[in-house]
Parts: sequence; structure tokens; C-alpha cells
Amino acid sequence: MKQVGGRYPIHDAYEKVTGKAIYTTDLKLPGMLYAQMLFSPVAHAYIKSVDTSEAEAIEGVHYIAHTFNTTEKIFNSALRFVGHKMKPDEQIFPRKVRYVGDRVAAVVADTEEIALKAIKLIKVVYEELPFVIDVEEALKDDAEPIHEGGNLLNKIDVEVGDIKKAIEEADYVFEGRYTTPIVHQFAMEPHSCAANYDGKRLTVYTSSQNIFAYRVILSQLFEMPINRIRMIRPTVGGGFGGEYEMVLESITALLTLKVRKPVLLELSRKDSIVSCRTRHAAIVYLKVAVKKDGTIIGLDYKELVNAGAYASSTMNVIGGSSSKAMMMYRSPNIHYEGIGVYTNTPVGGAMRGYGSPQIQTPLELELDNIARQLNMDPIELRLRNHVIPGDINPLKKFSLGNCKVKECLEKGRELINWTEEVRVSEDGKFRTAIGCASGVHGNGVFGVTIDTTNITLKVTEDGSIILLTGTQDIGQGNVVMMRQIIAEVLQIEQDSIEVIDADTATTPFDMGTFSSRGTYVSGEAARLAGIELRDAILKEAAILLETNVSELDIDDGMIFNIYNPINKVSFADVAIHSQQISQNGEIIINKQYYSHQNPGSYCAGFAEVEVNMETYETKVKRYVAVHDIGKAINPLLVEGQIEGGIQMGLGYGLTEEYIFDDKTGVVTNAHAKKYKIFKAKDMPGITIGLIEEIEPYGPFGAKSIGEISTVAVGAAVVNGINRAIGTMVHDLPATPDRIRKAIELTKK
Amino acid sequence: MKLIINEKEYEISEKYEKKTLLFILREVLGLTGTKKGCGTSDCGACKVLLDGKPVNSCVTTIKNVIGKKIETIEGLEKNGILHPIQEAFIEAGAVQCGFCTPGMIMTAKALLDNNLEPTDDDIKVALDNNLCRCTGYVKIVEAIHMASSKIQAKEE
Repeated sequence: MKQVGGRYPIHDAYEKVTGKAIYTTDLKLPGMLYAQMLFSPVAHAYIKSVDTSEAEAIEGVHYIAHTFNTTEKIFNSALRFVGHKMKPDEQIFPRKVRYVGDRVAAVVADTEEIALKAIKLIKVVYEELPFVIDVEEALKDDAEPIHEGGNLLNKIDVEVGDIKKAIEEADYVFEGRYTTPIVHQFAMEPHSCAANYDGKRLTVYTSSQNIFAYRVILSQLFEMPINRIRMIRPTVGGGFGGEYEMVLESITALLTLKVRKPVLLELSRKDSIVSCRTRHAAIVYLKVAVKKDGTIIGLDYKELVNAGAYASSTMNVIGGSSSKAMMMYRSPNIHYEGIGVYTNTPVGGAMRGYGSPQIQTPLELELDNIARQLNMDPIELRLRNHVIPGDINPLKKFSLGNCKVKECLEKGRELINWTEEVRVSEDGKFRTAIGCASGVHGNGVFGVTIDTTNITLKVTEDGSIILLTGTQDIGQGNVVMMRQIIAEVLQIEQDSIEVIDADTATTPFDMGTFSSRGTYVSGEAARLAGIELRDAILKEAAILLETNVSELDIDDGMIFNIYNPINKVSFADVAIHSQQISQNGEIIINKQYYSHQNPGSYCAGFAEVEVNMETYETKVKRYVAVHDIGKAINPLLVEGQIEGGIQMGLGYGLTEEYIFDDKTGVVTNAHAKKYKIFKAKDMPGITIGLIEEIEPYGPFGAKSIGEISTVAVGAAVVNGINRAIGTMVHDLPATPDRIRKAIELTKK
Repeated sequence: MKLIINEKEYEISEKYEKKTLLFILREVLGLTGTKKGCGTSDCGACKVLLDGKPVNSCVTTIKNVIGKKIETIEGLEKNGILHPIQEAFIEAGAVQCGFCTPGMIMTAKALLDNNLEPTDDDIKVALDNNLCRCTGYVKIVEAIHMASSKIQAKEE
């Protein structure tokens, strides 16, 4: 293969290194106005009144929207398509605010400065209510209900086999309570949106991963025909799930609909952290039933998921957790109960891994504990229980695909020079050990909803190719991936393919850039579209060359007769012939594709950590990531995903969490300095291993990498810490304080 | 107020006296290559060079830059030829979403202008005020080493 497997930089790298790439906030539309938002300073309150008179008196203020002058329609910001069953409980501006950071009002003005000034002059009277941050508190009978019907959002309860019996029959049952924190996607680009209503059509420019869904929500909110709403995605400064649920688009659209001028809304870093979306915090009560030899015969999970103030994606994330609970270990009995709980905290949503880290981290930590108790090597314990090719997801009843998790563990064991030994520095100050963890994530949404995309391919008059796709390149390399695939199928150079993506008015429908469906679903759709285009080109070339299609082949952009290679024509010859001579019209393909598989993408992570026994600080010295990738279409960008996923996972394991002031419900570290993401100097040396053993139904055997890249990292690091200190940290992130407490608890 | 940006002189109205350099670049001059990531001097997306030193333009006031040499990402490509650091960022795969990229490149330029053979540690120290969420910094560090080789090869 010439193109697939090659190392190519992202398609717009030139624009990005020269500052020419246009992001949402770089847009300057003629007559553009600027919006700013007022967010709730209180955690839970009825809004009794909003007085905007002083704010409106400022010169340059055009309009102020708030709960008393805005549609009361209720929606769910994570809706994927018309008819998608998602609990609607959110309003653009609610009458009752439900967390510090909830939306209260928006001002649109001539300048950002004026808008900010006006925001400060809006007078809101709140009737405060008791609030709750902790999910277990929120479920108590006397907790103040955040929504009608109480704080239990919903629950799912699924079982395969008989968990009760497994627990009775096991030689040992291990139990633990594990917690994972609220964390932030922290795309470097703060959330922003621009919109323009010209009196008839609404155009929204937004850094979204989910444009086709947003236009459905906007159409329902503003009662506009879908074909008059155009969502365009400029260059996106990072997604990671944070641009999956609709947050700012409804407000910006509302404002431009009112003022009929372009409006730009750009959030501050703080407001991006607090008032957009987060990864759900979870508490997991786990029971693992094992035999003496380490065979797992039962897994029992009870997961309490902090939805935050609104439902949004929560029940889908819980669905994701339930499915992942079934995809890693061959336990014949698995019970999963997932409970979504409202609290007065920022709203949980999509984030890289979508429910996987929350459910897998607890089990991976517990497995290391079990290995210690049974005096087994933790890798051997995992190898004894991991799924193998041919296995199915017992809940969803579909194949796990060519799942190579054992190979990941085995390769990683070699790459890191695995040892169970704890090294102690001579002065006893530093303890160093290696931790490992396995991880799994999916390839699309098949099994949950339909999973579909469409690819349009056409040949222009000079033989160059245009590919239209509704998928969204958000920096992950979707466009290059598709270009490589098409170039491979058509045996042409990538440069002759231009990809137009992510514009609801011009590109065909796609479900959205989430759920790690880019390569596995849209990549395969592109491959099939390429084959159809090849057929169409050959068919036309056969007329032109007066021969049969079966005698033609393509190489280096030329179609030739295999028996007489001198007899050849270019793509341009064929395109012009089709348009002008044979009058078959433009050579154009629209490939509709439905994915009917959803295999797992597996990984193993190994972290060598050094714990300072005086300060309890942890340094990650080395990290080895081995991924079951099927086939790396573009190893350069695959590595980029893995390296970025490790950065995110290290933060999850060690430094990142939302910290709340219990008295006010305020997030006290919503700040680029105080919310600690890993910096360059914090990063360990990274070694990557790829298992490329071909996933059936993926394009050229490829499967997903974007989300799985972060799933196992936190668990691997904390397992390293637990081995180093000889006890158990159950709560992420493993801060010095939590490590100290775990050690003190053991001493008692 | 006279500003010298990428070797070009700009006359800026007095009414912008209290604005930040970032505001002037982006909102007044249309030089939007410099990004706003935090506004609090903590992420480095707005990094520009001031007399060769990297500064966060989001907290740099105009009166502090008058008469000084300001370099932004827009000034690196000359006559259609990329700066070796830009080339290296592309080739090494150091660019994903690209939002941190201009700031990263400006920081790298300040480093390499003073230390043409930086160690890994030199690079990581230099990048301490530049955050990235896509790359884990791995290929950014690689790109800076690669740029160092490219510049040295050119000089030879």
C-alpha cells in the first residue's frame, strides 16, 4: 500500500503554523456585535426578578436576554437526531438556577467591553434554596430536589449470568469503593460561537463536534425549518467531547435572531471550565468474585454518576459504562447498576472515553489488589481473564471483534521490562514501581442507536477529486485519514483530493464526531465511496477507450488498458468525456453507510512512578502504551492521539479535579493556573507499541484510537503508586494528600 | 503610538492606550494568528516575542511595547518560505488542533535564537508557560530538536 500506513501531518498544518487557520473567534463578520453572559453566582435558587434597565441604558447595548423574555422550551443538549430519546430538562435561561455557573442572562453590544459593563449592571433577585454537591447526599430523602421528581435522574440495571450465585460460589469476594473526579476537557480554545441571522436564514459558526444534531435542537427551539439553519465548523481548537453537547449555540442564535446582526460570543477560560461540560464524577461500589486460581467468575458494579445540574449526556455515559463493563474480562456473571444523580454542580457531558475511565479504573485498581492478595503477578491475573477474539459483548450480543488485549499486555510487559519489584532509594525517600492497566473503548454507536454517515465524491474537470463529508476534523486528522484512504483506493496522490467537511448546508449527513467513529465508521464509508467512484470512472473510461471495464486498471492517476498500457486516459479526460461527450453528467458518488459492528479497541498501559515519601508527590518516569489498533492508517497521527491521551490520563490519575467550596458551591480552581493539566516538564518518556492485526469491517483493518488512548492511563499510574507505597489509594486523582492518608490508614 | 510588528510600523490610536497587546493584534490589526487561551498569562497561546523575549500578549499593555521589536507568528514565513521551526512543526506531527501552535512556535523561536542546541530539559523548561492538550508535548519537543538541526544545516 502506498498511502495507507504512511506518516502524514494534519491537512491544515501549514495554516496552523502560519497563523492563517481561521478559528471561530478569528471571524470578523460585517457589523458584528459582541455578546457576554451573566452566570449564576449561587448554587440553587429561583430567579424572582431580573432588572436590566440600568444595563440597557448604556450606549451600545442592543439586547439583553434572560429567563423572563426568552423561550421556555425545554431541551436536552445531547440530542443526536430527531426522535432521539433524551430527557429534556434544560432551558436556554432557566427560571431556577441549579449550579454556580448556570445561565442567567446574555447581553449583546457593540463591543465586548460594553457587554461586560452591562452584565455587571443587571440586577437579579434570587430566592436561594439549599444545594447539594455530593451524589450520595443528593439521593437522601431530605435533599432539596433539583428537578421535579427529585434527584434520581434515572438508572439502568443489567445483568448477564447470575451474580448472586457467583458471589456465593466464589472462593474470594473482593470489595471496594472507588471514586473518580469531575474533570475538564480543557481544549485550548475556550468555548465560542458566532451566528448570523439575515432575516431568513440562520448561520452558526461554531467549534462543534456535532453540527447536524445542533441544527435539529436549534430548529426545535426557534421553530425554524432545518434547511434554513446552516451550521459551519471553522477550525476547532480541540474537542475531546467538550464540543459535543450544545452549550453556546442556542444563546448566540437567540441573540442574532433578535438583533438581526452577526453576534460573537466568546467565553472566558473560567466560564469554559464551569459553564460548559465536564467528565462525570463517579462513585463505584465494586465486588469481584474470584476462584483461588484468579479466575474471575463475577463482577458486580454499582456506579453512582454525578450528572451535575442537568441530564444532558448522563444516561448515555452510563450506558457506555454498562457496555464497557462487559467487554474486558470473560466473567460469566456480570451485574451493572448505573444511577444518574442530579447535584448542584457543573453539567457532566461527553469527554474522551465517555464512561470508560469511570467504570474501568475501579476494576483495574481492584485487580491489582486481588493480585497482591492472591500472590499473583497482576499481568498474569489479567491474561487469565481477558477476552479473546471470537468473544461477544454478552449484554449487547455483538462481536468484540479481533480483540487483542492480551497481545497488548504481553508487548507492553516487554517494552517496559516489567517487574513487580519496588525500588527504594538508599535514603528511603523515593519508592519506585511499575503499574499496569488494561483498557477498552468502542468504535461508534452501533448497538446504542443507528450509526450512519454519507460520503460524496466527485471528479472535477481537471481530474482532481472533491470529497464532501459531514464529519468534523477537530484536530485529530479525520481529513488526512480520508484522503489517504481515497488515494489508496484510486491509486492517486493525496494532493489531488480536497476534503470539504462539516457544513450542514453543503456536506451530507453524519451522526457527529464522537464515540470514536471517525476512522472505523466514516473511514470505511470513505473507502466504499472510493470503490464506487473507481467503478464509475472505469465505466466512463471504458466508453472513451472503447473497451470493457474488466480490461482497465488505474495507476498513478491514469486509467490504462492492462493488455495495452499505452492506451491510457487521465481522470480529467474521463470527467470531461462524461460531462460533454457521452453526456453522463458529472462523475459523482453518494455513499450511504451504516455500521453494523462495534468491536472494542483495546490497550494496555504501563507507568513507572516514583513516590516521594516525604512530600507524597508522584513523578511519572516512563509510560508505555500498547494499542490494539487493527491497522494504523496514519501512524504519525495515531501516535499523536496516544501521546495526547496519555497527557490527559496522567492529569486524571494525579492532578486534575474540580474543587468545590462546600459553603457556596463555587468551583474554586476554575482557572488555567489552578486547574492542573500536565505541562511539558511533567511528562514522562513515552514508548508506544501498536498491535496491527486487522479489524474486520474497519477500513483496511483499522479501528479507533482517539478515546481509548486515555482510558487506562489513570489506572496504570495509580496502580504504580499503590505498588510503590504498598497500600491502596481508591480515589482519583492520587494527590499527595490522598497518598499520605492512604499510608496513614495502613499504619493504624 | 507607534508599534513595530514583524519589522513593520503601525500607528495605533491613543484610545487603545489601556488595551492589551493581544487586543491590538487581534481586534485592531487583524493579526489573529496570536490566540487567546486564558487571558491570565497561564497558557501561552498568545505568546509573542518582545525584543526577542517571549511574553504573553494577553497581559502586556501597549505602553510597555512602544518602540520595541514585536514578533508574531505572522512574521515567520518570509516570501512564501516557512521558518525552519514552522517546517519542523509540520513534519514532526507537532500540530493537531493548532490552537497552541503559534505560541509554541514563538517560544521555540526565542529559545533557539539564544540556544541553538537545546537539550530536552532546556526545551521543557522553555515550554513551561505553554500548555497543549492534544500532543502530550512529545512531538512538539521533537519538532524543536528537528528545527535546531534544520537551522544548523542552513547555517553551514
